[in-house]
Amino acid sequence: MPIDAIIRVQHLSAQYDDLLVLHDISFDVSPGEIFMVVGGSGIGKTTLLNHMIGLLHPSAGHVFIAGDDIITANDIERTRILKKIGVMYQNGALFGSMNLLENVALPLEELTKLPPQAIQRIARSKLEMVGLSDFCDYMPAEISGGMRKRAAIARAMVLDPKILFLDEPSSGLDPITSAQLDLLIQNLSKMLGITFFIVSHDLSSINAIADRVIMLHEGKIIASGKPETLRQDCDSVLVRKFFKREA
Amino acid sequence: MEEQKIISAETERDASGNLTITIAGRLDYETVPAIWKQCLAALKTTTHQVTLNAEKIDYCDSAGFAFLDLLREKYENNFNLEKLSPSLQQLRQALRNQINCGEPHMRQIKKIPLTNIKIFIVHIQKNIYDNITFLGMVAYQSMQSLKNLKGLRWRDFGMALEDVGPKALPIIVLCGLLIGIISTFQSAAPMGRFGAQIYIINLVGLGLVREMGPLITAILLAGRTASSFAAEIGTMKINQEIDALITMGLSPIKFLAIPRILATAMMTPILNIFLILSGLIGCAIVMKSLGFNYYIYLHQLDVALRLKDFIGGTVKAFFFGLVIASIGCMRGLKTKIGPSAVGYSTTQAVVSSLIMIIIVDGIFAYIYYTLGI
Ligand SMILES: Nc1ncnc2c1ncn2[C@@H]1O[C@H](COP(=O)(O)OP(=O)(O)OP(=O)(O)O)[C@@H](O)[C@H]1O
Ligand SMILES: [Mg+2]
Repeated sequence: MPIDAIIRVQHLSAQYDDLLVLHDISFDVSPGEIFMVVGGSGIGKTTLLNHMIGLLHPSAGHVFIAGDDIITANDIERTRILKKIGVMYQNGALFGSMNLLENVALPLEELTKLPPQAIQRIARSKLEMVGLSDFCDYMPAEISGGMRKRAAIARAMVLDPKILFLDEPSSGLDPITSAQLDLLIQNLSKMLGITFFIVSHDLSSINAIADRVIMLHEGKIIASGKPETLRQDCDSVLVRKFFKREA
Repeated sequence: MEEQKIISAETERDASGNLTITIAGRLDYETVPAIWKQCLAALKTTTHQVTLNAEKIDYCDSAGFAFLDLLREKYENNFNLEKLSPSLQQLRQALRNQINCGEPHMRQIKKIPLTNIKIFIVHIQKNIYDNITFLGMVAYQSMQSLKNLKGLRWRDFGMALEDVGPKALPIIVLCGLLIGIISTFQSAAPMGRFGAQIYIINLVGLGLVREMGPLITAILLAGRTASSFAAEIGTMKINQEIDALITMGLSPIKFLAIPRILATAMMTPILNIFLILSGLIGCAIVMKSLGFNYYIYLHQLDVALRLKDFIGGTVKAFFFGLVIASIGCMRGLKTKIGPSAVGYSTTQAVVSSLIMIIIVDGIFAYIYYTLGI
């Protein structure tokens, strides 16, 4: 495969029991790109993401992460592939029994042999990055939904993965924090060359940072391109409506 | 004068079996049930064409429209709705208006028709397969953890130890005491008839050490520990915390299950000892009241019990602990999605643990019997 795609999804079909959610989806993501997936609620965005990170097994198709097929990988290979990615789940999925610092430090403790001080420092700096340095010893249940999201992003970033998967990072954030988050994502992508795969509904952040967008509908990709292009001159009414926020 | 709720339906059948229903009045939540019955009765005889004359319906609400729609669904093309007034047609349209939020029109894949029995068998097969796989993983991961003690989550292990052991102590001691007292008391009368009251000590002591101790401990732990593990891990599953672990490249079995399983397996024999001790104390108290002093009691106990009885019980308790904790964790990890999933897992954890306790107990009975222990 060419080196210019860091994520390559080929002919992916996915189903839950008797519900076909994704049908023959293919696309590529280039390194350093901010790639966004949009689509109506319940259309299968989270499903797509879960298949791309190997949590679910597709009924057909392949997903290549930095050249390795995560679908056919065995456990050892999969662990190696997973080290290259970080994931933030739609609801954060922080470990409820640990405080924020412990949450963020966990991957470091378990997957690296760094000394404890270094781990603390790194974890702290990641929390600072998302503006939560004052909340290190709070439990996830004690902070707001938006803070939980940011902490989850910090945890996803802690091993400096090449690729970050974010499921609706800005939903539940106020516009200012959301804009700050956009800036953070942009910086990370520009300065560290991190590739972002983001599921989002947030039009303003899509317009602000997305390099490329695909829109899912009825199991297929019905549009792809730059957000401006889709808003202005896409053939599909649905796509134009979505990007112009019309009923 | 109070306005009367007028509704009437007339049914009329022509020679070729075509039915005409004429409804007059208000077709609403209150009148539909009666009309519905009347029409069903009329439709019982075979009918080819149904025509509903709606000319005289002067009001219709959602129930009325639902009634009309149901008739249409049932007779499809053989149903004619005639003369529905324009205003009612408009109302119908308005009630039908939906917000279109681009709900997914996902394709339903045709299910292979499976009879219930087949589904049941497949389900059981899958369950057995899952359980065996899980036990294999647990065994493998336990070995790995024991080889590499640094890799164990010591903090979780400690927390599990505390949760399974000391916190369960009050209920264990209470139950032990009760069982000691009750079984001594109950055997006092029949044994007394033969003048064999002294042998109650053998009976209760041996029973507690070999069988009742491990069994009661295990049952208590099934209710207390297996359920709490299943609920705890199940909640994490629902919260996607398990997914997060997997994508971090961490094994949930190693991370969550192993510390709990090892802690429970270690704690169960200890709890078993406490249960036996408190049972024996209960027995001693009752025996004292029957006139046997503690010296006689201890002496008789010494005669009755052999070390291998005790070791047999302890080994059994260890395996009970292993099984209970494994099942609790497995049920938690296998939690499905939805609000009732955790409750279901918890129940399943307790039920499966109890069944497994019985099976394991049977196996041990057989082994001890053949070994002559
Ligand atoms: N575990 C599951 N089992 C069965 N069906 C599921 C499961 N998860 C999701 N679905 C179904 O699959 C479809 C796609 O769900 P998905 O979570 O991917 O949607 P989404 O695009 O992420 O929506 P949202 O924007 O609301 O998060 C939905 O119709 C949902 O009902
Ligand atoms: Mg989603």
